Amino acid sequence: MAAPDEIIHQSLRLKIMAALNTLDRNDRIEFTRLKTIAGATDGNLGAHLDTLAKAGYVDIEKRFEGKRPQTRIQATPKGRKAFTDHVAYLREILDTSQS
Amino acid sequence: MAVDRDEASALLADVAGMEQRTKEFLTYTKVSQSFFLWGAIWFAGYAASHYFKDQAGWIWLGLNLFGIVASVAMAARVKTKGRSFRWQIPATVLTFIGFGALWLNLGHFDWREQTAFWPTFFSFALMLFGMWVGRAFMVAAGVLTALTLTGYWVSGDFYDIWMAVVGGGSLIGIGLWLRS
Repeated sequence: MAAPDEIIHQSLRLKIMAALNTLDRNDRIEFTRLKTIAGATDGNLGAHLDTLAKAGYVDIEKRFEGKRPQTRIQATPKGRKAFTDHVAYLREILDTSQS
Repeated sequence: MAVDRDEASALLADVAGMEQRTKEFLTYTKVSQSFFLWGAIWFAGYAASHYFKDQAGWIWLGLNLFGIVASVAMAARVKTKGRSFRWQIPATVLTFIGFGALWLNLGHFDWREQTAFWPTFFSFALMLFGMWVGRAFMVAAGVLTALTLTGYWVSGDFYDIWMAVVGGGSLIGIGLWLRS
């Protein structure tokens, strides 16, 4: 059986990784848009992104678009693999309990 | 860490929901560019129809060709970003345009009816698209149809101006709304 990932397992972090994993590999999403999709608050999303970044699962880019600061996030290859493995683990629990 | 069946099921439902919302968001962002483009084209075309009636047919032809080329260029940019190009998309658009052009011709519509036909026909296609892709497109289709029919019935001699400002403006507004 696949092993659970303690970092990704938290509900909002799992949602964040699900959204980032849906993007193309080279694409990033703006913080504000991710906040809307995930239904999170600024503080909550920021804290969980920090946790994911420390684990090497996401890359956070801060830049200026004109004079406006912009934060854009992307899943790293390590993060994509961890997410895929954790989803496989959750599916295995369902499959095991059905059989 | 022990995860039971119910928790696993709920988390997987969360994942599926997020994937769906993200795909909708990506679609809205990409399609919003087309709304900006065609909003500007509608504005220019309908304004030309009002102020330069004799040349309006040629102006519309040029604007539509420009719009098609620009739309293809935007679709090709998506292709270069890693997604495979799906021939079904332009084929579907061409089928709709062909069907519309056929019945426009068979129905012998006058200018006013023609200029009401295309926006409502486009809205009809957008409504069907929305049923599969995202409800925002259905709302947009409803708004466009209502505004077009309102203009058709109540705007009198200013129908083309109505369509330039309200129709073109609505497309641009819908593009901004989808982007947000």
